[in-house]
Amino acid sequence: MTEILKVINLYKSFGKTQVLNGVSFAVNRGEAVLLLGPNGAGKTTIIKCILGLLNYRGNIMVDGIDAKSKGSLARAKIGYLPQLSSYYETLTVSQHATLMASLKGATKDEVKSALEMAGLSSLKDRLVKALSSGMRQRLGLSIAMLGNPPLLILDEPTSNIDLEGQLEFKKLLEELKESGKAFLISTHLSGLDVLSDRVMILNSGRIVAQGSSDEILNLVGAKDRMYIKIPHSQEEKVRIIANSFGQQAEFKDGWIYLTLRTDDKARFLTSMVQSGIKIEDIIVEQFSIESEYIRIIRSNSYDK
Amino acid sequence: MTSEYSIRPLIFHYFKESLRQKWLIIFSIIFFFLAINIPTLVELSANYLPPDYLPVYLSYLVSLTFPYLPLLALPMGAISIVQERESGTLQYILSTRISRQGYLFAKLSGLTLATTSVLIIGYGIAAIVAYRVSIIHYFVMAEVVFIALLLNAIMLLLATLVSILTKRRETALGIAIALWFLFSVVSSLGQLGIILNTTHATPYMVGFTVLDPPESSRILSVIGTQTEYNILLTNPSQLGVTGSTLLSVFGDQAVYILLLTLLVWLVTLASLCFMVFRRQDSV
Repeated sequence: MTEILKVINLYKSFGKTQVLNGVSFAVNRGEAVLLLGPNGAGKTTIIKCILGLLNYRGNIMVDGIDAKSKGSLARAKIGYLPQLSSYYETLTVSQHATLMASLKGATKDEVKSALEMAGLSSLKDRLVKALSSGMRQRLGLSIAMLGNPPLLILDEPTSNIDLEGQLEFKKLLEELKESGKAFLISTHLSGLDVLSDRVMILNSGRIVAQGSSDEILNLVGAKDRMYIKIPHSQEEKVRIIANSFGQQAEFKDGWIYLTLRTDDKARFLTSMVQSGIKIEDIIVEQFSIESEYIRIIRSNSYDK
Repeated sequence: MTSEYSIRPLIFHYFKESLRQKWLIIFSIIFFFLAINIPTLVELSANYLPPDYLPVYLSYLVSLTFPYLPLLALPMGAISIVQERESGTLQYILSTRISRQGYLFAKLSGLTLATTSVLIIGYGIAAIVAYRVSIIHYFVMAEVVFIALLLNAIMLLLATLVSILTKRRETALGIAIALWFLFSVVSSLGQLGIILNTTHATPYMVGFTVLDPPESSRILSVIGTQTEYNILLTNPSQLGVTGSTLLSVFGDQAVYILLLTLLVWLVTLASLCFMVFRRQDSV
């Protein structure tokens, strides 16, 4: 079996509010899946259902185990990093990790190596409440790793940490990804799409798009912005080339500004060079899933 | 493959956390002074007490301390689950292999161990220091402590149920204090009202008493402090109106009826706690 997580027709409501409307998806072994969506889209609710924290309608299988009827066994396959890293503040790093290890059936040696992996060995005697946000996230990740689960679920992992902490955290995730772990990462905006093999965009309790970042960008016809500096005398030539690509070029202070589909950029530049246009400078502003996702969630389903 | 998980460290953690709670520390100090009963201590030192003072003074101890016992368990139990839900540690703990029942068992065990320690130490010191209980009378004292622990467990379960059902810490604490007020003050006023206004008050009186665990425990303990069931003759004032009515209606059977009532409270509340917590959304 290649699927480590399978969610089938997941429904959840709080009172009269329907939060999840038949969500279905799967995460394969070793795959990193990004669950992207605005606040209130239902990302955290999906995660809580997978972890058995909420009652739900539908089926969730973790490594072939039914999460509803065999919750404890299913959770043994999952390492979880919550949105707000909530710890017992009066414990030290080591005490907290040891307590969590006992609940995950992990050994003291595993605690030691998990703290080492997260770079927290030197801080093991420090009180949890004295840790910075970045350190708390690293502690959370090291605890999630205890018991060597094949699936890691990270809920908004970079939302509460500063830029330096985010960069450190991403590096740590890259290392873990290389070790073959599967990831389900929920985020509203984080820059984590570079780590993911697949992106799912969730809106109002439904998955409105899924696929690789490039696939989704192509599906929505996303374009890159280009700024090219050329001699003033060659503006007319550029205008003609831009028209042949179906684009209107705008000129200002010696710079051309135009938007092009990602796969048209190289052909456009080649045409300019072949026409004898001298390119003095060039800036490309690439579109990402994050910059496009508002457009995606406002439109119909782009599900592949 | 991971090994089996263990909840013992979690029980120990909750035990330590409970001992650190400011409320428990404050209650312990106040309870200690209540239990040692300074006036009795002075009288005992001055040899002003009669030789057979112990049964009488133990029943004083019961009447003095039992109404306050729920004040230990109710606030601590009431914040136990809701506080963890608010801080997010509940969802973190339940995301591991531990079951909801396992978590609740660990939580209740830790709280029970901590509050039990306070009561045993409080009454123990009272027995040794203030009342100078001889070996022969340890059994009587043990009876009092046992019933106090039973009451404590009932109050802890009641408060935990409140904690499971509420969404905010302040609400849970408010309900806990209201419950203590209901058991300790309103129920006594209610009983008084019934006696004064109802011609055939006995059935209401019995019903009120069994629905009031602190009062049931108090009566049971006062009876327990007497070596023979001649309490109505020797020390009727400590039984109160409710206790006297129960003894006159049920006679020797009153002890068993009260004990059974408390056990029913214990089992019902424990079942409710586990059932509701297992079925509800945890976060």
